[in-house]
Amino acid sequence: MTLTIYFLFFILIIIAFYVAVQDNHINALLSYGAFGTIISLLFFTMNAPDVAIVNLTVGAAFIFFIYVIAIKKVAKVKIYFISAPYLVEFIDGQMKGFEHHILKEFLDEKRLDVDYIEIESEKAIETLKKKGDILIGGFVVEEDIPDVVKSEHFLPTKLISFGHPLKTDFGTYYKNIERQYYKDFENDFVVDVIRFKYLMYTGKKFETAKTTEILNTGYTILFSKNKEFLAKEFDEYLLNLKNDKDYYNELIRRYIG
Amino acid sequence: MKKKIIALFLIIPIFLLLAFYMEIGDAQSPYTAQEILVENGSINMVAAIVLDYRLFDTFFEVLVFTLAVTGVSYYVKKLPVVSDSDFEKTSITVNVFAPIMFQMIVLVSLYVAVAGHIGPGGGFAAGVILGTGLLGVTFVKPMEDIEKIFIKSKIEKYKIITPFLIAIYGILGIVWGDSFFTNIPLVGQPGKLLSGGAIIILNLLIGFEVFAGTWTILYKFIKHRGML
Repeated sequence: MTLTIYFLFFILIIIAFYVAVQDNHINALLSYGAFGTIISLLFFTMNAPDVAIVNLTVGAAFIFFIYVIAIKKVAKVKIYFISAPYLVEFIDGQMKGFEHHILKEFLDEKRLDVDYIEIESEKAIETLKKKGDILIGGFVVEEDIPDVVKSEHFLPTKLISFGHPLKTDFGTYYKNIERQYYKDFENDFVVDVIRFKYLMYTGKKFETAKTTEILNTGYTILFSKNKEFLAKEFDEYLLNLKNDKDYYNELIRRYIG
Repeated sequence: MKKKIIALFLIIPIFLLLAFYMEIGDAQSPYTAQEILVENGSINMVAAIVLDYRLFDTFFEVLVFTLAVTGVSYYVKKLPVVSDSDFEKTSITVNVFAPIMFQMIVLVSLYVAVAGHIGPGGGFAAGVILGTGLLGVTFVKPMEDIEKIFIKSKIEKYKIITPFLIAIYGILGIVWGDSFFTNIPLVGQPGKLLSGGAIIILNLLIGFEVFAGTWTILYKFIKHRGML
């Protein structure tokens, strides 16, 4: 009997450590349920069946249910997007693009429900700060935006300048320059590689033909401040994805060419 | 992470120091178990102590619980009502299983309350079991149905009466005993359902109180904050 009690105490300590260091909410909750069950077993072996019953209902069932509902509510992620060619596009009622693909794989792995909402490019950052969770759409961020967490670069890119760098697109945050919709550019602007390629592909002519590469950088995904933990998890996921070189290159080939 | 580990290593020695150097006074009861059985008549000694010898403590526990629930429902009322609570269809297993489980849970809860003095159990456990069962039902039933039952039963008002009834019972103790909170002197035969004086009634009252409190909190949260 004494041995059983020692054994149960030992398991309790292990589970308590596990709950304390666990980052995944579902895992932590399940182990908390196990903790409640074992502690009530312990009460039962130590001749306190009344306490065991109460702990089984409160510690293992009631709190567990409430947390399940809370997690279910929190697990719904609002994703705002501005459309960017090859990265995030909404075509024929379906989301497409490289950035959307990797984000969707990441969120599926975390078992999160997703709402996609398209927003105007001008108000993107403000909306993210106010009520959103994640903002996607080919963002190149080279300056600090308050209350917004940016992920690692998921795809390398360059900033290309036509003439003087006076204007830039809504997806680019570089040295506080003025912003304008990229399809309306005429001269003297900075743009990232994919949008530049898209402009070339549509056959637009510009007054200044002189192009210079300013900066080697990468596209990031923006998270709101209260989803900072998600950004960290996404960075880990990204590291694994980049290590799997074949798959990563195949994805790039499939979406961008 | 570092902070967590440091905190743990600080907490453990403090706990051990307290555990080894704490002087436990000699708080031994003058009663023996046999005397309690003869005097009170309930086999479950915990029920006898909680609902007879220490009923005064239990009364204040119930009072605190009632006050807490009243406070929660008062402050949550100030939040705006969420009208479009997005009820989502759960999986078919939960859909079928939850209502069936609820009926069993109601039975178990009633048993735990009624047989609190002849076995492990009691009012608090019964109330929480029933509340948990209802929480399971909220997974499958839409908000409107629950609201209808909640308003129709007027449970929110009746639950305030419980401490009042226990107080009246306590005062009536001087009628059949020599002081307040005395048990009804109907010992009965230990082991039978009708034994232990008023313990059955008190268990049922406390069970109802705890259940109503849990249900009120759940209802208020669902109504004013969407899904809890």
